[in-house]
Order: sequence, then C-alpha cells, then structure tokens
Amino acid sequence: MLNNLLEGFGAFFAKTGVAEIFGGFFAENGYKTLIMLAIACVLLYLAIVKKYEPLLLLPIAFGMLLANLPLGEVMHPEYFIDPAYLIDGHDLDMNLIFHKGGLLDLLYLGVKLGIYPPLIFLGIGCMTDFGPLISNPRSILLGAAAQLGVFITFIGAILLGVFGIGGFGADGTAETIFKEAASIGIIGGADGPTAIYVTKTLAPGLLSAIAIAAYSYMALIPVIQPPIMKALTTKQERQIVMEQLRPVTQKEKILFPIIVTLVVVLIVPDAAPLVGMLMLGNLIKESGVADRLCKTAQNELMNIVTIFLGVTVGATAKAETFLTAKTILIIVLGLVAFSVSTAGGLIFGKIMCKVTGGKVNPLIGSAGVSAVPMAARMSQKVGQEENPANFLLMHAMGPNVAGVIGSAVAAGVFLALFA
Amino acid sequence: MGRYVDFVPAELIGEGLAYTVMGLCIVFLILIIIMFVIKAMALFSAEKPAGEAAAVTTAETTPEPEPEEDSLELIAVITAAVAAAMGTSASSVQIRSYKKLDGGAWNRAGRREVLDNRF
Repeated sequence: MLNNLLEGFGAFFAKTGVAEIFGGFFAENGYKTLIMLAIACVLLYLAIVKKYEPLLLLPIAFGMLLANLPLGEVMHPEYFIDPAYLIDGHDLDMNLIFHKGGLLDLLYLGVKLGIYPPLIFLGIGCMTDFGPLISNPRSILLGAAAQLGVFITFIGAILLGVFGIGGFGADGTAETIFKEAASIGIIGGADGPTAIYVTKTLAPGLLSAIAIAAYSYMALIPVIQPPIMKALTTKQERQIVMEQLRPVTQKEKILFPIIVTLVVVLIVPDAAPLVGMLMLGNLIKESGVADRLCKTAQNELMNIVTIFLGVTVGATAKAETFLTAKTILIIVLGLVAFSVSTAGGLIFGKIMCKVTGGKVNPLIGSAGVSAVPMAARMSQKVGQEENPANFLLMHAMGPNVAGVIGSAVAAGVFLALFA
Repeated sequence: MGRYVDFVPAELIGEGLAYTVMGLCIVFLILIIIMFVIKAMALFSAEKPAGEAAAVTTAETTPEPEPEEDSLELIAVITAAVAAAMGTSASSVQIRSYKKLDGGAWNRAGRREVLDNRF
C-alpha cells in the first residue's frame, strides 16, 4: 500500500517541470531554462518596480516565464520558425498549429499573420492629434530625418552578417543577412508595433530580442536622448522660442488622414496595413461622427491586443533562440539605432534652423523618433532647462507624429525589398 | 570556408549601401509629398473657413462675461482655496470682491503643471 503510494508520487514527480529542469541540469539545457526564468523575473521587476513601459513589458516578461517552464506546452516557437515544422520549409502548417498548438501558439497567430500591430496602430490613430503637424508642415521633414538610425543600423548589421560576427549570416546567404539587418535597423524607428510587424515577416527568430530591445529603449528615452540633444546643439539654439502654431480647421484634420493614406499606399503598398489602420483610426477620431468606435479602438480593443501581443512575443523567447550572442548584439545595435535616429533629427533640425534664419529650435528634431509622446516631452524638458518660458511641446509633437508615419514608410520599404 | 554561399562580400555591402540611400530617399520623398499636399490643403481651405473661424471665435467669446451662477461657483472655489491655505474652516473666510490680475508667472506655472500632468 505505502509502496504503491510512493511509486505513484515518484511517477508523478518524474513528469513535473522541476524534475525536467534538474534531471537535465547539466546534461541538457536545464541551466539555460533557469537563466531564461531569471531573465523573465528581471524584466518583471523592471516592469513592476521600475515601471519601464509596464503595459508591454509586463505581459512580455510573463509570456517569457510561461513559455520557458518545461513541459507546459503553451507555446511552440519552432512551429513558426523551424523549417522542419514548416510545409516546404516556409509555409505555416496550420493543421499542426490548430491541433497540437498551445494557447499562446493560437494567440501568436495574430502576430504571425500581421493582425495585432495594425490594430494597435488603429488605436494609436484614435489617440493622435496631427494638428501640430498640419499647422507646421515643414516639421514632417524631421520625422523623415529621424529614420537615419534605421538605415545606418541596417548597414551596420549587414557588416556583422558579412563578417559572420555573433552568428549573423551563419547560413551564408545574402537574403538572410538583409532580412535580419532590416529587422534590427527598424528598432531605430522607436516604434514597437512597426518593429514587430517587420520582424515577424523577415526574421521571426529574432522577434523576442528585437521587441524587448525596442520597448526597453522606448522606456529609456529620458536617459538616452538628453545627452545627445545637449551635445549636438548650442546653448543659443536651445533657447530659440518658436512662433505660435496657427489653429487648424476641422476640414484639414479630416482631409489629412485620407490624403496621407492615398500618398503612402500608392507609393509603398507594403505600408498599407500600418499606415491604413493608423489613418483610419485618426479619421474616426477627427470626423467626430463615430465617437463610440473611437473610444473602443483606443481603449478596449487596444488593451486586448496589447495583452495578446505582449504575452505571445515574450513567449517566443526560448533559450535556444534567445541566449545567443545575437541577442546581445541586437541590444547594442538597437541602442546605436536609437541614438543615430535622435542625432539625425537634431542635425536636420539645425539645418532647418539655419535655413529659416533661426526660427526653428533644433531640439524639436530629436522628437522625430516616433515614441509618442515621450520624445516630444524630452524636447520640451531640455528646452525649458535653458529657457523656462519656452514651450516646445506642441512644436515637437509635429515631428513626433511625423516620425510614426516615417517609420511605417521605412518598414514598408524594407518589406517591399526583402519580403 | 564555404561561408559565403551566394554572394561576394564587397558586392553585398555595396548593395546594402544602395538600399540604404534608396530607403532614405523614399522616406523623404513621401514625407515631402505629404508636406506639399498639406500646404496646398491649407491654401485652399483657408478662404472658406475664414467666415467659419470668425463665427467660432465669437461663439467662444460670448460666454466670457460670466453668468451669475459661474461667479458664485468661482467664489466658492476661491473661498475653499483660501481656507485651505490659511488652515481655517471655509465659514470663517469671506470673499468680498475679487479681481483677475495679469499674473504671467502664475499662468505659466499653471500651464507647466498641466503639461507635466498630461504627458
């Protein structure tokens, strides 16, 4: 009787995750699992205690925790990236995913099929006021200049691939090198959904590392941007007070999303899902006739999608793909991308300052990275340190929202070239 | 040793540079087009809303002379604020008259506080 009971417990214990970790601690990758769990806990700490983008980092970290517990079977990233599980080595095996997939596999389809990022853009569109941009159209150029980091980092990542550093370009094909480089470069757009949208198509194996890098740096903008802003501008430039923006009519605000959609989608059709949804959300808001839809898109819908997106992106971070030199290099390149984008916006801001005879404060250039509204807030803060009576916030919102369009276009260019 | 399957390193870097320049140009091109379209839009929607805008401003300025009820509310708020600042109860404070001053510093401080709370 007692023997049977002990045997029963023994058999049960052998099937637990604890046994799995410690049984294979040294022989297999048990210790790697423990490292992943530790990283997940650190990210949870950053999200909860330090409040680094908690809305995303919290689900990401918990997804990571959940997916790395052995035998849980909630997520199989290999179904989406391992050629052994793909039909003909590149198409998703839906039958396998539907029948053998866990909860997070099914939710991950929303990432893989490109559904969540555009829906988040819909909500962002409902929350964005393009008024400052419409009243000062020149500021849209800063949103383009701040994509510099995207393309500079793209080149940097290609070099890593060509020289085979950190496991990049391991399969030796130009296609992989370009795809991975494009996915890493887009971190410089400072736009989480855009980075995820590009990476899930071009380099799904790097998704978790890129998403975590992108969201971490967005949270760290108050640390990263001000030193660059101060280094690249003079005291006089930072003190420039800009003219008041003219008021924008509702007609202009309604026409704007329609026109932007036409221009962008006609030239870069691959940007259609992101830009189209962003502009639909904005039209819903500005039209004023669909208030209920606007409320749902920017609150409930966006929150639901954020939970699904965060937890599944986190769940793709498994030891085999995450604990690599690549992840570390991606984190480094992401920082380069962010910094160069900030610098790109500032330098163009200085050019505009010269051309307009000192009417533009170059500090608004750094807001061209599309982290809304953090980047614009940094312009305001650094400007006010020099001149307490200066209010740059609304001027910086122009480049800031232009940056969202700019990075979506950059994403479209990459997808058109390499997808 | 067999690392480069289908490319020559120098050519690949050249190709990457070409994509970089092309990508930046396309981003600038599209945003420049949008800039000109916004400018055109402003020109052609500027004439008509001139009347509209005037109507809006008059509509906004009319409620400026505060109706009786609002000023009572304002007095209540001022009373409460004074009482709170002095640490006495509201019943021991009497507001006999009030006048708006051109307090630039207070306005600025208030504006900054609102901005800081919003973003």
